[in-house]
Amino acid sequence: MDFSLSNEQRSWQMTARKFANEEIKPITLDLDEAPDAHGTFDWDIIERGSKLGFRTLAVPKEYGGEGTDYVTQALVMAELARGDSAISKTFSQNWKWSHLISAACNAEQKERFLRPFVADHRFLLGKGITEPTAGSDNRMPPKDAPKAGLKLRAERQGDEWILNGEKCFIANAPVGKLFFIDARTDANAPLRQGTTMFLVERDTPGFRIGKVFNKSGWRFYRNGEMIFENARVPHANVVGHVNNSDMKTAAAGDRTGGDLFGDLELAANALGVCDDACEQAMKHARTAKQGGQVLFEQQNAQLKINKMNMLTEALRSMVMRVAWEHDHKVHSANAGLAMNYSTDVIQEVTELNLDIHGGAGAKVARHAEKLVRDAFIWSHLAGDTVQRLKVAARLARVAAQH
Amino acid sequence: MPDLPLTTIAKVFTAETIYRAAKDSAECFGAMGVMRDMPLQKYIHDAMICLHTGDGNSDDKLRIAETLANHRRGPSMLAAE
Repeated sequence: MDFSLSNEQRSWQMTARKFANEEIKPITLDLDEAPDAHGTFDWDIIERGSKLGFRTLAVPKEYGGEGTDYVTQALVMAELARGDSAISKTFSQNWKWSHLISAACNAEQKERFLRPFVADHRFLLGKGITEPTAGSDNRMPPKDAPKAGLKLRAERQGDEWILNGEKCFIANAPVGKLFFIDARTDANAPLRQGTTMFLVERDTPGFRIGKVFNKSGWRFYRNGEMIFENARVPHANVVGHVNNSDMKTAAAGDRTGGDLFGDLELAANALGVCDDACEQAMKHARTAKQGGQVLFEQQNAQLKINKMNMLTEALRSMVMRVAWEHDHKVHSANAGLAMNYSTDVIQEVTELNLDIHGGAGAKVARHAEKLVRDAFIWSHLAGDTVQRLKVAARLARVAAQH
Repeated sequence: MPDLPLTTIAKVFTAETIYRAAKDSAECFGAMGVMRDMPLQKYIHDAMICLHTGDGNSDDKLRIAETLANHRRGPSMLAAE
């Protein structure tokens, strides 16, 4: 298997590395320390990154995007995450939903939404699935129970749909301009048969953003509540068919908007954080002195650095392999496994890095401590039991096909 | 049986246990486990301080091994020495 990069892939990687080093790294620790959730965001960095193509990386070239392959996307996510995991995620969140627009929207919708998205450096995308009483349970039993899963209702009135309900923890909600929203359109049917996906614009009447969540990690990344009070959405904004929101099913064909990219995304982002941690650990161990000698002279420190690099390189192999497989349309449970694995790796590697910085003053350890907080985010979106069971179910489906 | 450094052993063990328990319980709360207006993220932070307080767990483990082997090191080398 040949994992050497093409000139174009290498060029994107270098552009992202330079941007992370020169633009992201100088601001990341200060933004992280802003006390309230409104002070952690910076439009300037989004605009400057967008001008380099990081916002529209996954939009097809015919719509004015960069049209890159998965390998490039994985490389860029990792490089940006090396600067700041949450800033990387704010960019790649748009790729996730660009994939979905390309895969699931009709020609008129692509024209209406992809063009303005590409043209506006402050145009961010999001998708609302989770609700105060529904989220992970969408994938957990009892999957056929009509009362299980999300509650947000949409009822048709002529050419419009009236949405009522609430979403929470929605990424990019406070800063996004366009959202995919899953809503129940048949209350008596199970989730998969009774749900429709809508495109909802930020200025839709009856739709507003509620609370912005103040998280311990990924502080740049905005998660917010969405409130729908008789929000009026045109029928032309229905994605796919009514009562058939599930774009990820085999019946829907090779859709790449959901888990295919999302799983790779979290693993690639984790890889960047691990690279940063390894670099910090080595730098500290080679310069800090303890008991009259550099820290690296201690076998204890060497063993930690060994383990950090071992895990990071194993994760890199897995991430690049999954990206390559996606480009070759070889889909398996590997992306999900990489995502689960990235949780274990990012947490262990950042904790070891903090360990290495144990004797350092609070100021030096500040960076190491931030990485641990960012890494803990993986616990509830990439490596929690629900995500692991989901991947096990995928493995069982693959086994059943053979 | 040598004199076991029970205090250090207990410190290392409890610090690791607190950290694991705090992480597991935060996971049970899903996204609320990382919200600043909820206590879970604070418990994790506190548990992490237990891991790194004093000499830190990995240096403590070295001390336990040294005590068991009745080993005396020459010049000081650990962070807290």
